[in-house]
Amino acid sequence: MGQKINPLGFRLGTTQNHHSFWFAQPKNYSEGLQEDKKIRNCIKNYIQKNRKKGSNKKIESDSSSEVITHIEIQKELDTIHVIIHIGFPNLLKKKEAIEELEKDLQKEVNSINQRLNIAIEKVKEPYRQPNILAEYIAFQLKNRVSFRKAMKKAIELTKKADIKGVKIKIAGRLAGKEIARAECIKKGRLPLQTIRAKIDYCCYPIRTIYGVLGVKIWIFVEEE
Amino acid sequence: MAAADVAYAPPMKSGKPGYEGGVLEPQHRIRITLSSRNVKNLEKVCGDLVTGAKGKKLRLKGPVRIPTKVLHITTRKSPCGEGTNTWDRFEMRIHKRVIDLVSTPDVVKQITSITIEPGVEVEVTISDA
Repeated sequence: MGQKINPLGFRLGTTQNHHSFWFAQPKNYSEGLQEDKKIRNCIKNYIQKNRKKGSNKKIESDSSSEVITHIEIQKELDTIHVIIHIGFPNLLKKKEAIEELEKDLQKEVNSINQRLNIAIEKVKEPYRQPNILAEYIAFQLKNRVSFRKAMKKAIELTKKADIKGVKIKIAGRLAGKEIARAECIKKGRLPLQTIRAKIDYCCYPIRTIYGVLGVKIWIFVEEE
Repeated sequence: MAAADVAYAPPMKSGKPGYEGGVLEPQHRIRITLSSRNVKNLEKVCGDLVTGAKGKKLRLKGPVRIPTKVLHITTRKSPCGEGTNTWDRFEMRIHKRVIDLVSTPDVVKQITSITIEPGVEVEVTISDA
């Protein structure tokens, strides 16, 4: 069989927008890229830290913890706008948490002349985002649910959201078996070759005691 | 004869700041260079700047479209050397527009502060004229 191209990269000109939207001359481009990478890592680490703190206090019985769908970065002359799209914002509703994040980011980015402007947007339909589904599956697998059940539950969640097609693929040592394999569940239609079809994709690694499982989720949202 | 003189006299441009009256503010030649990867936003900023300058009745050399630079990166798709030699061809297109104005620097700062679009870089160089 052939290799499949990442559907996000395939549609960058048309249905998909860039997550980092700024311009720099080729001389300074690498610095801007490194800044971007630092900002994104910093935000993810912050949320992971707080998740660990939260789990010490109470058992995380519900999987509705914060999941970042994507982080948009726009840079102008003197400000950096960071827009964090989050599925279920629990922590980051409070202003203190946002201020802490700002301070952390300022230390990382450490540029004096640039102000940081952080905005947090709640995602409208969380179960339409592949990142959130992937986190849900990861949570289920950590609780030792059989992987096929986890995939089916995830697909049931998408039924509530308005979705025309889903495909979930898990690869690796499924159920801890020695021989790794890949399992896939599809529902609806998924026209990967159609560029005007809006397809969301996410590739998420899950760490288990037996190794790493790779989860890939394709969601066909709408056409044009 | 007077009528003939009037008929042949060239039309006078009115309302130019700095040319009439006793006080002449130093006019500079100002070059605004706009670069971006995105044509829509770039053309929008260009249009805004041009209308802003025409509103203030400055001498303007319209947006000069400099040929787009296409930066190529061609890499092997494979992480190892095995397989048919398939190559990825990535490109980045940089569009550039140049607008020349003759005015005082304050007016220019006013105009450029209004129009700010994400993804467009604005560079202003001032030279005395």
